[in-house]
Amino acid sequence: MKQNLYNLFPMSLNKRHKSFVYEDEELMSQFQKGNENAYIELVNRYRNKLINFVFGYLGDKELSEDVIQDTMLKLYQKRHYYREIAKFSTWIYTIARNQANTELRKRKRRKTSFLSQMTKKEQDYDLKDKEPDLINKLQNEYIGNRIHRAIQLLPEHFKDVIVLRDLQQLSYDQISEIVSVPLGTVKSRINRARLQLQVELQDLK
Amino acid sequence: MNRYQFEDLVSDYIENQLKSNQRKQFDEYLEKNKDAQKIIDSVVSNISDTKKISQIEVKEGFNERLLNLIDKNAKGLSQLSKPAGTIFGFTPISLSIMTIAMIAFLVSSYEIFNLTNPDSNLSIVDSLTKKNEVESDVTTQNKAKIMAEKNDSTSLNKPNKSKLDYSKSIKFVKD
Repeated sequence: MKQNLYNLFPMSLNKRHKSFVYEDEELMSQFQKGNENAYIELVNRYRNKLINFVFGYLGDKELSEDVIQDTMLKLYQKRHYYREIAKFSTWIYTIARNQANTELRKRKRRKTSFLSQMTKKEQDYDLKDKEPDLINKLQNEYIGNRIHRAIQLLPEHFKDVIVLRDLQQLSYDQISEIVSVPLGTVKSRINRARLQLQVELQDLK
Repeated sequence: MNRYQFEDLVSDYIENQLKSNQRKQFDEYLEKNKDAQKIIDSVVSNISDTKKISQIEVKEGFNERLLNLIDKNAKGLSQLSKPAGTIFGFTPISLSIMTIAMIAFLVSSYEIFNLTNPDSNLSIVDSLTKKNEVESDVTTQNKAKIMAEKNDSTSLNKPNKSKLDYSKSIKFVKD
C-alpha cells in the first residue's frame, strides 16, 4: 500500500517517520497541479477528524456528514485559493467551521428542536452494535452524550474553541487562526467554557 | 488571590502554563479553599472524559458519494457555462428571431430618415455636406447685409448728420 502511495505521489519523503508520509501541504500542492489521488488522500486523512469536530459543534451525525461532504466539495472546487502560507489543517477546519455555522443559521431559521432530535438519532446509532462489555460501553456513551449536550448549551463563541481544543486537541495558535480571534481571547474563552462545562456536568461525578 | 483571579488562571494551572510566583499563589489559594480544589478536579476530569469520547466515523461509501457529488457539480457547471446546441449562448430560434428583428429595425430606421430628409435621392453624407454649404452661404449673405446696413447712410437706426443739413436747405414755395 505504501509502495502504491509512493507511485501515486513521487514526492520527497518525510524521513523522520521512517515511512512514506507526505505533509498535507505537499498533497495539496500536488492536488493543485491536477493530481486527484492527492485529493482522495486528503479526504481520507481529514474526513473523520472533521466529522468529530462538526459533530461536537452541531451534535447531529447525519447533518455533520452532510457538512463534511460540502466541506470536501469546497476543498475540491476552491483548491486554487489555498496558499501554502497557512497550514492546510487550519484552512480545512476554517472551511468546515464556516459550513457548520451556515448550517446552524439555517437550523435557527427552521426553529427545530435540535437536542431532542439528537438524542433520538444517537440512540438509534448506538443500539446497533452491542458488545460483551455492555455496561461499560453504555456508561461511556452516556458520559459522551452528556458532554456533547453540555457543549451544545454553551454560547457559540465558547462552543467552537472548546471543541477545537478538548475534542480535536489543536494548539491555541491554530485555534486562534481558525476562529480569527487573538490568542489571549482564545485562551480566555477556553477557560470560561471549561468552567461553564464544570457547572453543567457537576452531577456527573 | 481572589476568586476572579483564581477562575482566570484555572486552565493555565491545569496546562502548567503558570509562572513560578503565580503557581505559588495559586497553590496557596487552593490550600485555603477546598471548593476551589474540587473545581480544579472536576475540570480536569471533564477534559479527560472529553478526550475519551468515542470518535465517530463517516458512513461507508462516503468517498463514493463525495465523488458522485463532485461529478454532478462539475456537469452542472459545464452545462451552465456552455449549454448544448447554442450559438453565442442563444438557441437557433431565438438567434434567428433576434437577427430578423435587428434587420427590420435597421431598414425601418433608414426609411424614416429618408422620409424626413428632402434630399431623399442623396446619401446621408452628401446631404450633410450640402446642408453645411447652404448654412455657410446663408452666413455669408447675412454678413454682407449687416455690412451694407452699416454703410447705408439712409438707415433710420443711425443718426445722420447730412439728412439734418438737407432739412435746413428746404425752401417752401409760399415762403
